[in-house]
Amino acid sequence: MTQINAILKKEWDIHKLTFMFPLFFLVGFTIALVALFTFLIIKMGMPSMTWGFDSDLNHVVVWVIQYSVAGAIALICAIIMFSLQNTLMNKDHENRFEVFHSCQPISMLKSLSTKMLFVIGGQMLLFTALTLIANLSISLIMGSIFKTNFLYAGLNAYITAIPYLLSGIISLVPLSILFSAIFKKRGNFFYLLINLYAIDSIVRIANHLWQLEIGSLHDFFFGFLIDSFPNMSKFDMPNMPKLAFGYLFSMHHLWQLILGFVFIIAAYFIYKRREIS
Amino acid sequence: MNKMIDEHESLVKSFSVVNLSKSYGKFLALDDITFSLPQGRIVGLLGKNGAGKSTLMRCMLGFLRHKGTVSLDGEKVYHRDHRVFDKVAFIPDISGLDDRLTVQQSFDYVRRINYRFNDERGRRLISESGLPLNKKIGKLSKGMKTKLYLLLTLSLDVQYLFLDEPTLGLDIVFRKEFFNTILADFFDETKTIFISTHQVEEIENILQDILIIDEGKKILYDDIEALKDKYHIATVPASERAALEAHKPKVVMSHLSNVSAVLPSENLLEGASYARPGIADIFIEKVGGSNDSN
Repeated sequence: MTQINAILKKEWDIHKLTFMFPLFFLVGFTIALVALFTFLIIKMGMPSMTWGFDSDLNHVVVWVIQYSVAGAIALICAIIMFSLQNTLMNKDHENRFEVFHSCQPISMLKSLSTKMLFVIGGQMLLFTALTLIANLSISLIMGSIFKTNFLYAGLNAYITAIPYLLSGIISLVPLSILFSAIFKKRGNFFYLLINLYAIDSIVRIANHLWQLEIGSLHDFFFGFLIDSFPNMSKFDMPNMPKLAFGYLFSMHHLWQLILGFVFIIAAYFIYKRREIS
Repeated sequence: MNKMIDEHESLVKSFSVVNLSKSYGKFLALDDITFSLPQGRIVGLLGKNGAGKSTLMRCMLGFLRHKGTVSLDGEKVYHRDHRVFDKVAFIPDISGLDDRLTVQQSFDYVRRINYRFNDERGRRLISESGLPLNKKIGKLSKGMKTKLYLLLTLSLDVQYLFLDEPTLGLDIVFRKEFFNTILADFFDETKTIFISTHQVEEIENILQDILIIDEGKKILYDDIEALKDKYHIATVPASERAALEAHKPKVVMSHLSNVSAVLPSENLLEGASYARPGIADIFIEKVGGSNDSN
């Protein structure tokens, strides 16, 4: 446990600013938004706050706003997560600290899984906490402006967003870890995307030129890993969390987990074969 | 019976390398090396640039995949085997401390992650060092970085200390201080130090054994005092050069009016004067000079 704490503390000491970037971004964005509104109110006067929708639709609009905010936070957390995940796997080598860290009596499995816990678990927690704060704040602010209680819509959007968005991000993590294990340099998730798009472009050209029917690598991975939200004919707010959790415990998700597990095992053995020079 | 037990004991309590070979593609960096580091010895690892010294150390520490067997106290060492570092500490040729941490953070990190860390000794060494605790390592001078690396390493209760050109690029005062600290704070008859260095004259007085490798091959591994008895430096007038060269020394050194060479002790020349050789002399005799083609 002391060794795990040592790694967590070290990674926090080194990466705390990057790690907390989603919080800084959210605070900065909120300050900018408040400043903009204040400026507009000072310039143009207080607008008359009238809500154009009927009462049911009010809550749907708030729900969509809340879900979008959660999506935006998830996107920022995911960018930081993928970036840090590669940094933690490959930067020691690039910066020539690898020997120093490798000379400690800790197994690679323990060290690597602690680092991944720090970056993936940490960003998940941060996403969960920031989204809750943002959703509650939006519900309260909008509720006080429009004299309506939006807490239910806010929390409903939150409970829907958390499992769905988290599972979407996490399903990409094993692929990203495998890519970082294979490539010491440029093992970043964004290079993975560039490579996939480049290969797909070549495949498309080949398909077009020679009337082939080779499938898209990008569509294979991302179509499988990120499943779209279940189609609905009518927006049914009370059932949204149920649908999201249903997705989480679906057969499709089980296959994702199995594939993810295979990717992580492969990544571990590839990473362990690396030499330190 | 006692002798057998002693032999078994020495095998169990040693860092042994058997038929070790390492290739990089077609290039053979280490070629079938076999030797054993016993306990309580200071062993120098000598070789020209590119002879395979760093590769050998890294193979022994499990950093590089190789052919052959490396065993530590009777246990086989595997690739990336963290258990090696229960007993071994290593200082590489470049200060590879994590530049992003402060001195204090590095100290705390090693103290917590390495359960061989001796808290009392570590605190004493860092307080005596005068290093700025809150300064980032990236902002320290090369000497300070090496000092920190050394004190972190010496705070570990390990049996083996591997040093791969640890004082490269540092001034002579620091180099002297470095080796004095190691002798004072680390070495005793239960511990082994394995040092690779170019500045062999500076540590000649502390080395007990010497391992010379050249082009990946083991040239010799012997007790230094015994080795010095086996050779002598023969000096003859320059006019007697041919007589000296008849013994086929690898290198003949010219002085003002004399020439000299390292020869086996039993090779005697008429009118020659003899001197006890240093390690550098023996090294040159064994592997030749930098421009030697023999």
